Amino acid sequence: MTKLNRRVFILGGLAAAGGAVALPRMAGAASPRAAGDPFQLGVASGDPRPDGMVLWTRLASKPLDIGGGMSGNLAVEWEIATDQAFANVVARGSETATAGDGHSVHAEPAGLPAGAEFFYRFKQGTFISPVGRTRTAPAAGTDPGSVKIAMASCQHFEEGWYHAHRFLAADEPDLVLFLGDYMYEKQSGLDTTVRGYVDFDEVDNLDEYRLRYAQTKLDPSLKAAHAVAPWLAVFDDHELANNWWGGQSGWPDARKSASFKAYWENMPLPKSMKPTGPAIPLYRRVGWGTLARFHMMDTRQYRWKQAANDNCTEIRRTDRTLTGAAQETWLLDGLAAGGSKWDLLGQQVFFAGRDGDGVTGTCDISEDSWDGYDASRKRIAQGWVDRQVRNPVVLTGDVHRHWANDLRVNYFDHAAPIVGTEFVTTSVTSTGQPSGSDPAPGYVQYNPHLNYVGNQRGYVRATMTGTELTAEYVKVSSVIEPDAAKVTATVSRRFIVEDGRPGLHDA
Amino acid sequence: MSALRRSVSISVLVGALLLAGAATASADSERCTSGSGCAGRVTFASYGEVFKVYDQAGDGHSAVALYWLPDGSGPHLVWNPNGNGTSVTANLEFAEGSWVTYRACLGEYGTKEVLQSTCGATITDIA
Repeated sequence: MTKLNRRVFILGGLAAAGGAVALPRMAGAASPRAAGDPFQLGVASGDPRPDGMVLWTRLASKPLDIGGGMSGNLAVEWEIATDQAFANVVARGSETATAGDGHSVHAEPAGLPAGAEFFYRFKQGTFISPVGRTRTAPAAGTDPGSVKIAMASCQHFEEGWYHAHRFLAADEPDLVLFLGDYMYEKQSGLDTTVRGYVDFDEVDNLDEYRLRYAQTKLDPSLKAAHAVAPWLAVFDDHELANNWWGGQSGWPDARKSASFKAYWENMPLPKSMKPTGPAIPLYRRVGWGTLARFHMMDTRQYRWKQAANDNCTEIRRTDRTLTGAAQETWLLDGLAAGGSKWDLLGQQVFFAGRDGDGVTGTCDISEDSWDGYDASRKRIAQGWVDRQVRNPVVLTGDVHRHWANDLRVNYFDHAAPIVGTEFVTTSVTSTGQPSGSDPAPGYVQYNPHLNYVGNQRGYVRATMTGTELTAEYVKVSSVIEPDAAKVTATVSRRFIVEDGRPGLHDA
Repeated sequence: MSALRRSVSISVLVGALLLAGAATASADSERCTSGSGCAGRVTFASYGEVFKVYDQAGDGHSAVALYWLPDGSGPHLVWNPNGNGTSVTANLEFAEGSWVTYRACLGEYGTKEVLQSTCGATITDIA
């Protein structure tokens, strides 16, 4: 069991205290003030660079009202310090929160020292936000020695309590990768929900998307996870609609625009990613000195339509793409540039092969995963082989189970060399409490590269050094027990990837 | 919010709930169920954090208040199973200055099923 340590408790305590915190260094603003505490959605940071990061909050004094109880333009001050008491403030600034952007704030301090820890907070009128912890990325060309990350995905609000986030926060990672399905557009169909949406409808307009995010963000454990470290966030499908695909997917531009706008408003993303229509520039790269690079991918906006899962003619087309041509080029060019020991592809859908019967010609696969885009996957895997990428690692969400996979270019040739590794994190809550007995799917026998599957709720944490990557699959004992004190977290499996030797090894 | 599509069972999650026969606090805000008849009505008084749930139609359903709290929990339910012309008062304890979002619905008290299509618009009030 992981124990909540003192620092996270302090962060959480400040979150609870809100405006009661004494902040002598943040002078009172002359601008209009919110009618009630506007910091109820917490604080977050993201996309760290060597000299800064994004500091985020979204004002909402009545989070479950359309509009969040806010109106007009409101000045929001921010400050960032090297200490939690804010005795050594290194940067301050002000942003204007507007109704047009859902009263979200995306401050971007610059000129900070690289590879350092900071604390930040916001002020609106007389209200002071909770305190968040963040950090800058190590400088290019420097070796930070190690980096500790956490991965999470799939958190249907109704299907469980976010205890996984509380344990994730207690780990104090350097970086959190959220790999999609942050919120869900529909109510749960389960009979075991622990809470319910205030808006019962399927969300399909900007007000409803904003409201759904606001309700999701009320969870105290999620607030703690956002406050503890910078996030690298990418969406999957449910932030818009189930299994949507790019281009002419049938979802109206108005709904796409609303979905993408709400996503940007509610994530610690830079201003440069703000969408202006039915598209958002989501894929991007974050370096961590010479140790690692995080290639954050978009596997929704540019993919071809899913093929029927027995339509081999379509599935085996050599021009099929899941990434789109531009993103594929961006990824392969970035991998070719080198400069890092570990190259991590943060993305959404299952990368390794999961063929249902092990027969090449039946295409018995999950059509939404990379199996449905075989040529696209081969171009990328062969691409990193051709470019002699030292340690390619794919980080995945989506499927509500823990998986650990060796990667090959051809999954039907079980003697082919292993060319990479995939860690798939289970859901935080989605599909609810797993049953006590749930054997691995039968198709695992046809796919020997699938090393581990665990039907649990939780997250994955990993530490990378110059010699190895150690990943731990964390499971929480319950998502339906509301009392956090009664919930434990345990490591269900641990794997190591050795530098220069792709594939999983037991730790 | 637009019309609702289905009904589901919602667990009873009410804590620290006291039911009394009559209301003593005045209404600071109120909401009706959907439709024109206001078959169910819920009032909330900030002083004392008092919900009152009125059943105003002999339609075979019970009136029920659904409310959500700042910790992300909800809907908590306050049922009036007593039939047309009655009310139930719930005297709750919320942190001073915190908020509560609520809406009025109809449901089946026996199975604790809330008929989502009957729920009226939400409102947030301050405790």
